This record gives sequence, structure tokens and C-alpha cells, in this order.
Amino acid sequence: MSRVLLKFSFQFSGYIRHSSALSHTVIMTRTNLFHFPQRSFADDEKSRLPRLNEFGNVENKSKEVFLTVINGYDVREVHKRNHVEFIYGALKQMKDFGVERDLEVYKAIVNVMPKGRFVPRNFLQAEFMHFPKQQICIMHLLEQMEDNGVIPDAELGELLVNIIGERGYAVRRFMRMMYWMPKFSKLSPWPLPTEVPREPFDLAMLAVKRITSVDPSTVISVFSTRDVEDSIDDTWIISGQSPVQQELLASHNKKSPVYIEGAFRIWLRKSSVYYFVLRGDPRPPPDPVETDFDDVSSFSAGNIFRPPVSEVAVQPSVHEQEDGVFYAVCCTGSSGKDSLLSWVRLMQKTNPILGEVPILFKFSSPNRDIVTTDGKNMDGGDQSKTDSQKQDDETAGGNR
Amino acid sequence: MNSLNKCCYISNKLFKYTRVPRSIHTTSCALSKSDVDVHEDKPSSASAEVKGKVKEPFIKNLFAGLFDTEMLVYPEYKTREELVSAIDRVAPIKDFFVHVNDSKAIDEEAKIPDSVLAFMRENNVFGSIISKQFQGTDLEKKEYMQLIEAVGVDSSVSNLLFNHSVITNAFLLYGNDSQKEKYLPRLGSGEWNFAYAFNEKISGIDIMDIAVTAKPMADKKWSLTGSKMWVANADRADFFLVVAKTWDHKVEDSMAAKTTFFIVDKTLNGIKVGEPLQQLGSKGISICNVTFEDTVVSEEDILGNIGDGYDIAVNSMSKGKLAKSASRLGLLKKLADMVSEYTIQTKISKLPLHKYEMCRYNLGRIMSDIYSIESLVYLIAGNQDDFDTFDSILEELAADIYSLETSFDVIQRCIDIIGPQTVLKDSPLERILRDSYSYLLHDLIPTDVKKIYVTTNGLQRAGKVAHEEIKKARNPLNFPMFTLKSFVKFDNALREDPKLTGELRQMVHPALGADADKLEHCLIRFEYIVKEMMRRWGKELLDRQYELINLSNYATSMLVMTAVLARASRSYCIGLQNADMERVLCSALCHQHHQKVKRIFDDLNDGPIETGRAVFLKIGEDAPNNKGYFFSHAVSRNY
Repeated sequence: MSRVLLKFSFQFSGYIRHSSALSHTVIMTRTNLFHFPQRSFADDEKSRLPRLNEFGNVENKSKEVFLTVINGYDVREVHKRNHVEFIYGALKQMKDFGVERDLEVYKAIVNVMPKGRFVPRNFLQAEFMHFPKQQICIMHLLEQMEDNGVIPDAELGELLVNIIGERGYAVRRFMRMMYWMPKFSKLSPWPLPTEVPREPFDLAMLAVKRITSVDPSTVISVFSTRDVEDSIDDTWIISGQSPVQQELLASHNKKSPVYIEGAFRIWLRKSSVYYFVLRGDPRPPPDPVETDFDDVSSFSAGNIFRPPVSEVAVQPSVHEQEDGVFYAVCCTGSSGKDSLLSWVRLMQKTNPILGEVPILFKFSSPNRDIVTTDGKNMDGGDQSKTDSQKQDDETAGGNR
Repeated sequence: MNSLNKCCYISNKLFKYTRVPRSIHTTSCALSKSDVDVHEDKPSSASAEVKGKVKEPFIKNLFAGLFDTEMLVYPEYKTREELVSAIDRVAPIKDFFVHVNDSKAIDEEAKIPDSVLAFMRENNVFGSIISKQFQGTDLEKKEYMQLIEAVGVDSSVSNLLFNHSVITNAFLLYGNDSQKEKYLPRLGSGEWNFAYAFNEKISGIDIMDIAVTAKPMADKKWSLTGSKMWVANADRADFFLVVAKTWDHKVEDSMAAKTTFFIVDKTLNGIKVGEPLQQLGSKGISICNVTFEDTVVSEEDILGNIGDGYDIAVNSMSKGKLAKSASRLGLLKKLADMVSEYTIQTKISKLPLHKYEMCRYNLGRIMSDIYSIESLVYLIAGNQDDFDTFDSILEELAADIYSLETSFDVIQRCIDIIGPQTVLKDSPLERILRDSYSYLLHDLIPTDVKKIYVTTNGLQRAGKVAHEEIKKARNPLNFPMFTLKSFVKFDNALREDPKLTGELRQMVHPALGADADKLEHCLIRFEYIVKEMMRRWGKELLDRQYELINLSNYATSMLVMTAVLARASRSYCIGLQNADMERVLCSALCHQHHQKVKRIFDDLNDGPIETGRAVFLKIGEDAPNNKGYFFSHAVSRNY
């Protein structure tokens, strides 16, 4: 009987219905139903009501200060009044303090919650989301962690268990995060450090390394434009070229030009780097060799000196693509035309053919602002978005 | 008395030839059998009769699904006198290398003393394979092998001799009359030393990319430029045999490049021989880099024709490979004696070492490995003697590969027995261990390449015979009946205990019947696996090096089984000393090789994915992209 009742209640309970397939998005829609508190609590000094915007009037925004404010609340509010509102306020301010990727801070925020009070006493309570407001608050916090790529640890889990018990929804979410996030963090074949270097040179080095990873034999060399006689810029050049590319360049048809194209943009976490490529016109693919693989009547007797190669045409290298043959890649400190000229001069030492072929510069500005997902760059982004949208609309209209 | 001894063996042999010989497999092409002399009782006429006979290549036929049952008749000296005279001729050389020659001194001084060379000249060692026309001694193969075996106890000298034989073979096979007239007698007498300038950058040679070039000049002269690496014996040589890139036309098109051998006098201009390089082992024979700078060679000094370079290299280097196995045999025998002596002298817990089981096992394996190499060498050598033409390059290579791999096994077992003393400076085993790696420099062809050569040659034969069948098998939907029939046909090969014809069993002593059946089992499966590989990969099989190498291992194992069976059967029939032991050893060896062959069969038949080989291939592909070991450290954490 109780089983039937339970099933019934499961079907009609809004939270539980989705909990069987507790996908991220489902939880999201649920949590979004809960609005941030709009009403302002008393902000004046004398009021004994807790202040909503405790972080707002701090001048020196740093991690220490942030932790001090949290600690202040913790000490002051013995009964943890309005801790949910406090946490929402803290979450909102984290980015301004530059602590949105700091696990320690998240733990400090969670620690504000009273322990033991929200732990359900039986399974019914557990399944029907005991203290939903508090749990949803924690889930918001976890979500923000996830958005920022902060992987929780066991200590945070222990805190959560102490606050909402082992069967809490937020704990379940925490567990899912613990399962997936470390896995995702190591999935990329081109791993990057958690914090990419701020120095442009180091960042550009990372970018070139990533771009040239298609050919492991690539040699990355660092030049300085000072080595070129009449260069105007004084900057560095990171150039990547593999021996295969050198050979390809040496066999370039001298009548057709080579292009220096750019600037293209490569993203490394939240930073972007501009790079340029040295490209030639595409080459026709090798003629397919018709081989009857079924015919074994004429095996060529083993060449004793080198491994036998079947009569399949040699595959073109990775540098020969449909849109061109890529001879080299570079990043420069200034991304200016002059530094690229210096690059060509410097490359000429190892690739003498560059002195004999016409070189064309094809610059396309990458500077059209890119729409980012966070609200900050929305202004610029909106502009470009509307432009392109307009274009789309026009073409669409024409079609009609 | 002698003939009485052999009576049993001969009757067995005779028995065979009364039957109508036919191939044990039902393939379309039947092996044309050549008759070995049946008239054992008239030995004087026997050799004359046999010469002029043709023997089909053994391994190539295996690939085509044919087994030459004659190979199970172990070749022997026709008379006792021949045997005794051969032993007498080799005896002084054997004695010299056991008692007089000081391998340790050669190793320390990094030089073969003149006294050793003088002794070898006196005994005509250098002229062993040169025909009498050119003042050589033209030994029988069996006798030559015994001689090499005697010399083999010293690695430096045997490498020198091998080097010499490669050169001699090149002249014998490709020299024109005047060249033969000029060089062979002096090569045979040991008066002139040659060095084989062949290696560049990597072991062996990339025929597409030879750095040494010969440019044609006016009045039929050629100018050589470039450098050769690791030339053995270069500092003592009077002549070099250089392989160089040449062009017919003036245009230096890499596709039109040809390879040509030049005989280069060391006294010519522009030749620079570098300092001898430091080596691990075989220090008696020096290794130098040689540079040629506009060395002018006349056209008479071209060996063979322009463009023959590849053939000369292959044939001259593969031809004498059996001698390599023989020299290893000599070394291993010496090693076995040493280790046996050691186990008698050493005591552990008051018991001599050989009383312990592991030591006995290791000793037993050492002896049996040597036994199998010996059987193999003299089986091939004997057949070369008995037949005028026997295309045995593959067999020689297989023997070479097998002896090389087995010799490392043997050395490893010796190390297991002797223990830490191995690596001490004065230990003789330490020197042998170092010397054993000198094959890397002196073999000229890497082992894997040899194996691939064996298989591709075999497949060439197999493909010729079975290409129609393979074409059908690769298009099963176009030939449904054929496909269904082939299921039935190969069902036997895939069974654990297939039906056997028992033809091989009849070729050996009945006591070895079970072992002959094992060989037949291997044969039936080999025919299947070769066809299956061709069916699975088609022409692409040439690129599947793993498959090629393992097919070669398979064939080699069968050759070893054949050799051991033939030898043990003969010994048992005529009752040689320890023949009983040979019989059981033969069973043991056949079992081992049978197991090995089964493993190879399963591995190849299951394919790369099921056996996990595909994973290794993938990792091997990723490793260069990641520039090394790329797994996370064992202790790393993710959060």
C-alpha cells in the first residue's frame, strides 16, 4: 500500500518527477523558478536585519577581503539568519573579486550554512527535497562552480553532507560533478594549464605549439626583429615550420605567389592569440593509382633493404590541404605588417626560395568583436550581431 | 660393417622410393620430384649420378602448399673415407682455434695477430669456396661448414671470414672473366684484402637514397664522391667494393638512378679512411668510415653491369648466410662446454650446481638448441652438396635467423647459470656476450628485413599458384559455391586434430611417427594460413610486416622440425651413439615448435583486433605525435 502511495506521490511531485533522470538542464529549469530575492532588506547601519549587499561597499576587492567578509558574517550571525540571501549575494560578487575559480572560497561560502539543521530524518523527507530553498541555493553555487570549471573536492562533499545529509539533492549533484568534471577536464588532446600564462610571448608559444602539433617534426624557432636590418618594429617572432614544410616550400612553383595570411585567432582558454600563415596555392592531389588488391599473382619479391611499399600512391602530407599548401605559421609580438616582413626575411635564411617568389599579404581583420556568453562585452557584441543579422535578413529576403 | 650399420636407414630410404611420390596436398600443382640415388650400394658412382640434379626450393614450396618429403632424408657422407678425410682436413684448424688462438688477446689488442692470418693462409681457409680453376680448394659445403664451425669460436676471425666470403661470392657470381682471373686467386690465397663499403646512415642501404655517387667522365672513367660508414676491415684492406649511385644520362633524376658496384683500389686518389671506431664486440676486426672524393675509377672496375647493384648486394650477402649459422654453432658449442665445466666445479650448499633442477633444465635447453641449429645447418649444407642446383637462399636465411635468435637464448641461459660473474671484466662469457651483438654491424641485413625477404619470396610463389583461388575468395558474393566449398575445404585445417594423410609419418622411423604427424599438422595449417592471409589482405599483405615476419617464423619453425626429425630418424635408424636420447629430444623439440607454430597460427588467424595488436599499433602511432611516453604518471590524480 505504502509503495503505491509512494509511487503516486512520485509521479505528481514536481521535483521528484524529474529526479529520476536528474539531468543538468532539468535541475536548471527547476532552480530557475526560484528567483533571487528582489526586496531590499534594511541597508542602513543600525538595522539588526542582515544586509544583503555586504560585499558592495568594499573598496579593496581581493580574496582576503572576500574571506574576511564571509568570516565577519559567520561570527556576527550566530543564528545564520538569511544565510541563503547572503550566499546569493556572495555568489554574485565573486567575479568582481576575481575569486570565481577558487575552490577555497566556495568552501568558505558553503561553510556559512548551519550544520545538521537541514538533514532529513527519514527517507520521505529526503526524497521530497527537504528544505528546498537551502538546497537550491547550494545547487546554484555548485552550478556556478561548474560554469567556472572548478572541480569540487572531498572536503566540500563532507561539508554538504553535514549540512543537508547524504541523500540531499545538492549532494547528488555534487556527486555527479565529481564523476564527470575530472573526466572532462582531461579529455582534450591539447591540454592547457588551468591558468594560461599572461605574458603574450608565452601565450603565443603555446598557440604555435598547439597549431603545429599536427606534425611532430615541426621546429619552432624564436626570432627577434632586431636581427633584421631595416625593421621598424622591435618585437619577437615565434615561427613554426617542419622539415616537410621546408621541402614543400622549396618545391613551390616560382611563378605563383605565396601568401601571408592573417590574422587568425586561436583561443587558449579565455585568451586569444593572433597568428599568421604562409600559404601557397593548392596542389592537385596525386593521381590515384589503380591497384587491383585482389590480384596476388605478382607479389614483388621483398626488397631486402627497405620495407616493401604497396603500390598505393603516397598520401599527401598534412600540410597540403584543399585550400592551399601551408608552409609555415607564426605569431609576432606586434602582429604588424612590418614584423611579418621581418619574419619572411628571417625565414629566407633557411628557405632561399622566398627571395625568388612574389609574396602577397592578405590581411583580414579578425577584430570584429566576438559575441561572448558573459554579459560584459555585450555592447560590442550586440553591434556586430545586429550587422550580421541584418545581412542574413537581406539575403533571406532576396531568396524569397 | 659400415654398410651393415646403415642397413636399417637405407632400407627406410629405399622403402620411400618404391612408392609413387606425390604431394601430400591436393593443390593443383604437383611437385616435380627429383630422384635421389636409390643405388646406395654403389657409392662410387653415386655422387656423379646425383650431380646435375635439380632440387626445388623448400621454403618457397611450403608457401605454395607443397612439402618436399625428401627433406626428411638426412644427407650424409656417402662413404666413411670421405667423412674421415673431411674431418682430418678440418682437425688442424679446429685444434688451432681451440688451443693456439687467444681470443682474449684479440679482444684486448683490437687486432687479429699476423700469426693467425698466416695460419689461415697456410691452410687455405680463405680459398674454401673458390673453385679449383682459380686456385681455390672448393670444399664441399658440409666440409666448409665444419671449417667455419671451427673458426667460429673466435668472433672476430669468423666475421673477417664472413666478410671475405661476401666479397668472394660477389666476384664468383658477377665478376667477368678477367676480374675473376685477377682477383679470385689472390682473394683465395689471402694476399689481397677487400672491404665491403656498403652501409650508409642506417644499417643496410636505402636503395632510393645512396649518398655515394659515381659520375661518368671522359674516356670511360667514373668519379666517386661520398662517404660510407662502418666499413669492416677498412684499415687493412687493399681494395674496396663500393656500391654507388650512377646515372645513364646526364640528367640527375632520382628515379633513373641506378646502383652499381665498383672495385676501388685503396691507393687511388681521394680515399680517406677514418680512425677505427670503438665497438662493443668483435674488436679484432676494425670498423672505419671511408670517404671518397673524386676518386677516379676506370670502367673495367665495374663489377657486373651498371644497375646490377641491388642484385649483387642481395645475392652476395644472402648466399653465404649458412656459414653464419655454422660459425655461431662453433661458438655455442664452446660455450656449452664452458658452462658444463662450470656446473661441475661450482658447489652450492655442498652440492655441485648441476644437481639443481633449474640448472639441469637450462643445460638441457642449451644442448637441445645447439642440436637443432646443427641439424639445420648440415641438412641444408648436405642438400647443397647432393644437388647441383638447389635454390637455397631462403633456407640459408631461415637458418641464419633461427641460429641468431637461438644463440641469444642460449647465451641468456648461460648467464642464468653463471650469474653475476658474467658481467665481470675477465669473464669469458662477458666477451662472448659483447661479441654476440656484433652481428648488428657485420650482418649487413637487419633480422626483420631478412624475415620479410623470406616471406615475400615465398608469397611470390604462393601467389603464382593460388591467385585465381584468392581472387574468388576475396569476392565471396560473386562466387557463392566456391565460398561454400572453401568452408568445407579448410574445415580440416581449423580443427584441433585434423585428419592427416600420414605421408610424413612414413618417411621417418616409426618411433618418431607422432612427431611427423605434428609436422604434418603444421603443414596443413600453414597452407591455410598463407591463403587466409592473402585472402584477407590481398596485395596489401606486403605492407603487413607483422604478418610477414610471423609467417617467416612459422616457416622457419617447420624447417627446424624437418631438420630435427630427419636427423633423429637417421640417427635412430643407424644407431648412432645417444640415438635414444636424440629420439626423445626430437619429440621434445617438435612439441616445442608445434606449440610455437600454434601460437603464431592463432595470432595471425585471429587478426589484429582480436589479439590486441591493433592497440599497440595505435599507441605506436600516437607515441611520436606525443614525442615520447604519454600516459599519466601512475601516481597522478585528477582532482
